[in-house]
Amino acid sequence: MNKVVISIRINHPSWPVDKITSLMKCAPEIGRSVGEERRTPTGIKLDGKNPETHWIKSLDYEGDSLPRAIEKAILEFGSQSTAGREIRESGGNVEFFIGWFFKKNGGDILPAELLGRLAGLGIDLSFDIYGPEVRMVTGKP
Amino acid sequence: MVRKTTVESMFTLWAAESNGDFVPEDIHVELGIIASKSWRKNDPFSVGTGVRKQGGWQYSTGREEFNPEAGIDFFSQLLKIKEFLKNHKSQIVSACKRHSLTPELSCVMHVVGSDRPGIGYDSELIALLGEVKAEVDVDVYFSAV
Repeated sequence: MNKVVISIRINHPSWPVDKITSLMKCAPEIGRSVGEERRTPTGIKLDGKNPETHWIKSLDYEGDSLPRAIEKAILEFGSQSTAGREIRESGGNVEFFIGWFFKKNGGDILPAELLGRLAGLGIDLSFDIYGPEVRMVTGKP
Repeated sequence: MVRKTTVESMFTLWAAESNGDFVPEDIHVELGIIASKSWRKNDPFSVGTGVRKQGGWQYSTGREEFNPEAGIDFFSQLLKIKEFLKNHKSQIVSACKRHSLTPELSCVMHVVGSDRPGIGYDSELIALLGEVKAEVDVDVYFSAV
């Protein structure tokens, strides 16, 4: 089974992290508000200010197929069913960022019904594919 | 020959499994465009042996060498698919009803070495896919350099 890790990623041009946290009814793992000083993940100060707000929460669904993992993420997000629309209509965006880890060739199908539910919640899907280590073939023994 | 990572996005209308066939030329007429590729039930595959179990009509971006610096990736391909869906949404819905077709968006990558093409479906594309009741298929093939 390929491993699937989904992060809910919210970007907003003007709302602070607290406002999104209140709408989502849960705290992010990473939260950076627009206009605050830029910092590295370890807290070291960088030049400039955050150009927009980033709100990120990871959901680990190891052992689930891709459609099942997305379904679970929708259920977790579903209790805030109006959140996606509110964020989008105010200029932000909500994304399920999916890290998909393959041990070998593979793939999956997302049914139309599942896409309809994602559309209703105003959620983007973004995939990063991680493959098996591939041996470099040099032609030499 | 040096192999390179390739990406291809395809929107396919599949014949229903019950009868398995339709006349692709009918879809050309109804959508007003010629398919990138179409086939009938029992047509032989272009590679290998065996025959098609279901007819199909396909709009494809073509299989392209992955080159994100030059803007050749799934993001640019899916923009083309989105424009196609925007322009032909109502005809696709009608054709699916009339001929009992199942729509599908496929993204296929053949990955060589350390390339890792990302894929992004924005909410507008997802809504369009929802409106035409399409499913999404992602296939990934890995190979050595």
